[in-house]
Amino acid sequence: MEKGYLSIVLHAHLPFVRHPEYEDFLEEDWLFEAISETYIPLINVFDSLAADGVDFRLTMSLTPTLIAMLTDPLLQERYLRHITRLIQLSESEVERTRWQPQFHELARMYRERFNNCKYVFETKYGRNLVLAFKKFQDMGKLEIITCAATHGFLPLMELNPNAVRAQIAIAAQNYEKHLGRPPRGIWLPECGYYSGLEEILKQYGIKFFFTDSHGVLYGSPRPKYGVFAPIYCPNGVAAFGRDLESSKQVWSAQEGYPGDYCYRDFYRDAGFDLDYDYIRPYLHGDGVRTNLGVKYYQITGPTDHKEPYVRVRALGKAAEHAGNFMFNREKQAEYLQSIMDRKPIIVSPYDAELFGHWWFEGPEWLDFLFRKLHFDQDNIRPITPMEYLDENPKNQKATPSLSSWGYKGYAEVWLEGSNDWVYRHLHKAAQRMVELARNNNPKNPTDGLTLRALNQAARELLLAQGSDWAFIMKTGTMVQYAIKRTKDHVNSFNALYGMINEKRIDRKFLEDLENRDNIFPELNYKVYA
Amino acid sequence: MKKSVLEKLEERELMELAQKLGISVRKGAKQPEIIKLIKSAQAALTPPAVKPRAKRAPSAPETGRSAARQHAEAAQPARNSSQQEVEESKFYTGAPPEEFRLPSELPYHYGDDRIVLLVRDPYWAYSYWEVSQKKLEIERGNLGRAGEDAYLALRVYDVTDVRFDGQNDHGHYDIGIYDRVGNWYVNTGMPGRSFIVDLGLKTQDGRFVTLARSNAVRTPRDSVSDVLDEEWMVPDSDFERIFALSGGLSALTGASSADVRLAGGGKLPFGIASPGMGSLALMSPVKKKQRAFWFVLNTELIVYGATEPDAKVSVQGRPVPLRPDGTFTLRFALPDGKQIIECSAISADEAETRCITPEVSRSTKVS
Repeated sequence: MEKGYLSIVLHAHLPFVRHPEYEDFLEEDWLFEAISETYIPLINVFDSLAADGVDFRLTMSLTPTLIAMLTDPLLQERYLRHITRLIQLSESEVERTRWQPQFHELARMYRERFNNCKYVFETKYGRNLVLAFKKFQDMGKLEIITCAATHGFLPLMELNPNAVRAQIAIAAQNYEKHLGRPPRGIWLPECGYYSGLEEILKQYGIKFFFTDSHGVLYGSPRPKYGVFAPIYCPNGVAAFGRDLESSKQVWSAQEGYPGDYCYRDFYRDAGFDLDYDYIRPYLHGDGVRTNLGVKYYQITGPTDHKEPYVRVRALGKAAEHAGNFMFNREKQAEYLQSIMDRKPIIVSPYDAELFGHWWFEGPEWLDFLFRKLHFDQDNIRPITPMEYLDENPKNQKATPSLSSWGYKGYAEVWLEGSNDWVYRHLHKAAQRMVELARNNNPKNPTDGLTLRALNQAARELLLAQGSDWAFIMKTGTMVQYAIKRTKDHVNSFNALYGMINEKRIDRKFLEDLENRDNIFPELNYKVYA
Repeated sequence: MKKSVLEKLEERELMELAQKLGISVRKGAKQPEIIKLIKSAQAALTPPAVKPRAKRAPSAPETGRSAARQHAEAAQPARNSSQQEVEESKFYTGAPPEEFRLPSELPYHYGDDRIVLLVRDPYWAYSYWEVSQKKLEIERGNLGRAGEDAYLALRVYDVTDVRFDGQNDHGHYDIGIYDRVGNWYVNTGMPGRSFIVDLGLKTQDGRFVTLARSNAVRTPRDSVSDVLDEEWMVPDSDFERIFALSGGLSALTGASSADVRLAGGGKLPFGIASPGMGSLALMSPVKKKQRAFWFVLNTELIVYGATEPDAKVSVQGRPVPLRPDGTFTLRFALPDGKQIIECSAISADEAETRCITPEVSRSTKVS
């Protein structure tokens, strides 16, 4: 009989980046790399666990922006172009490295991986990876949860409840459209919670969400079991708190598993290492060297001299680390059970893109972990939050505390000198959107243009609200792109607002926006009223 | 001339145009009727001042684009009524349309009198505001002589658990500011309390006139709650252990759980968490780790040749694809040591074979 539960949560998210106006676009690589290095490897792990009868449980968010991109025909087409190019590169690499056995073996590994990506993407799942994840949800192994529509950081949106409601309503609608049933849980963007948010969540049938540790731990009244049991908000929506120890084992730059010297080095990439003329055909149009995802070295140590990556040894480490993680959870549960009068739940959330993209061996680590949990022990049972609540319906009532999982635990990452200027504009646009929704009611069928402009205005607002832009402005990579996206969406919104009020909509302008920012075709602007 | 432009439009396009201009047209109206309505609306709107402009652009659409498209492009948002008029006149004269261009910068302000407060963390809030020049002048005027050297200030009120009426705060303090459009990080200094900020004019003799009042915010707690639920009681010692465990395994493995005290704030080491290093930080495709001075050198060998296009070529026993003209190129990373590169070509009828075997060796000295 188990002593406790383990709930692993992966938050899969990328901002909406789609630029039909360009032949190719650097930032679209975010999606393509995540598909090849994270989403497909995870799907392969799930497939292999299911095939081997491993009864795994995992909770995973697929954010509405990610779903929109994964189901978009243009981006699907471009992913195929991207992976086809990588297959060509890997074939060429297999030839080039023929006299270097260690590299040759790795080149063959990449060739096999890229071909597998193409097969899984195109043939096995018909270009729609959302259906792949849905398959595991339908099998009862995976609980897919939603997220706010465009990953808006909700504590800084609280001022305008209609804007928050729209983020949730559109997310729930998007989820149901692609996954065939309403969402039961949500990953709050950046784990950002403010008290009262649960009222809106409940309206859309959401039964649970997650906070960082202090969100639950600092809840009031004082939560008896700390983060090791969920609390019910006064309205009955459950909040699960993050376990810090298990987070640290994976996340921490110093102590975390991904820093092991045997693992693949993220920074050494063929895109930078190989002869320019040779690599040029695989780079973007501007010819700037970028990572290509063909990486031959292991972390090796705190040195610039890197040794070639040895796959077998790295996989051995991943198995060892999975065993270590499981052992620690067993000890943790054992100890907790001695001071709790119920079985603890250990909630371990991670960014999905950590697995595979950053920590190359991460998907294999998950694979080993679930196999070991299934075959090697009885102390810990993997569980989804929904299953936990079904088995343990009685939980303490308390209101969580405002919190996020960002640096220092509150709003500072998204509200500091580099990005605080966005809120004046985001709030104004949200206020104007509510005004538009209340004042316009185009029923006349000849007024299709106004209706379209209203819906597009909502899309522009939503896209401007994504927390990713503020995050990028703070962290300092691709800053210009984030600033431009914010300004363009706000300015486009304001232009539409003016056109709708003046009753003179520029059709071409609207069509260009609709063509580019085509997220949520099902959206109805009335959600803001 | 104006009419001729309209007459080229179909009823559907005219209806749409009328809609844009805010003219109501009965359903099923015919072309001449709609044109008449548009023309009378236009007559009411077109000010004399724009007539010279109409003269400068006299001709009907010159480009190949449809008139309807031009109308759509001409219909731009108006920032004020005179601009609106100018743009409307553009349509009626058939002036060359301008593409709508999105501004590259955001508005500096929105013409509101408004102040907003946002929580950053248990100790800080962020405020942004704007007040119109007009409002400022009126309020200065109302203050009489004292208004002349009155200055803008923020007044931060502690309004915890009260319905604030401007008077019943638990205390307040002022921050002098300079800009009528600006922002400020307010050090509220107290977790778990509620605040409101007024933007106001403060006179030299200490009077304060409110220009705008913010929303109320509540800063979060930064420690565990003192409120206990009788149904969910737990001995303090047990809660301390739970609390310590919630903060990390170090407390579990060592005997140090007692060191983690609820007293003294009971703070957790938040921020280990890496979402500081979220997906996007990882996604940047051009990021390259900085390193000290470095030098790398590699060698590659290019083997190339040509034969009959339908011949079969192999290099070191592996078939080599030929280009349509019978040429081929191979590229190898060349490590230290000796490479014997056996190359052969066999004619399509397999009657003839040629072998060429270069030997290449590399040795590297590093100093």
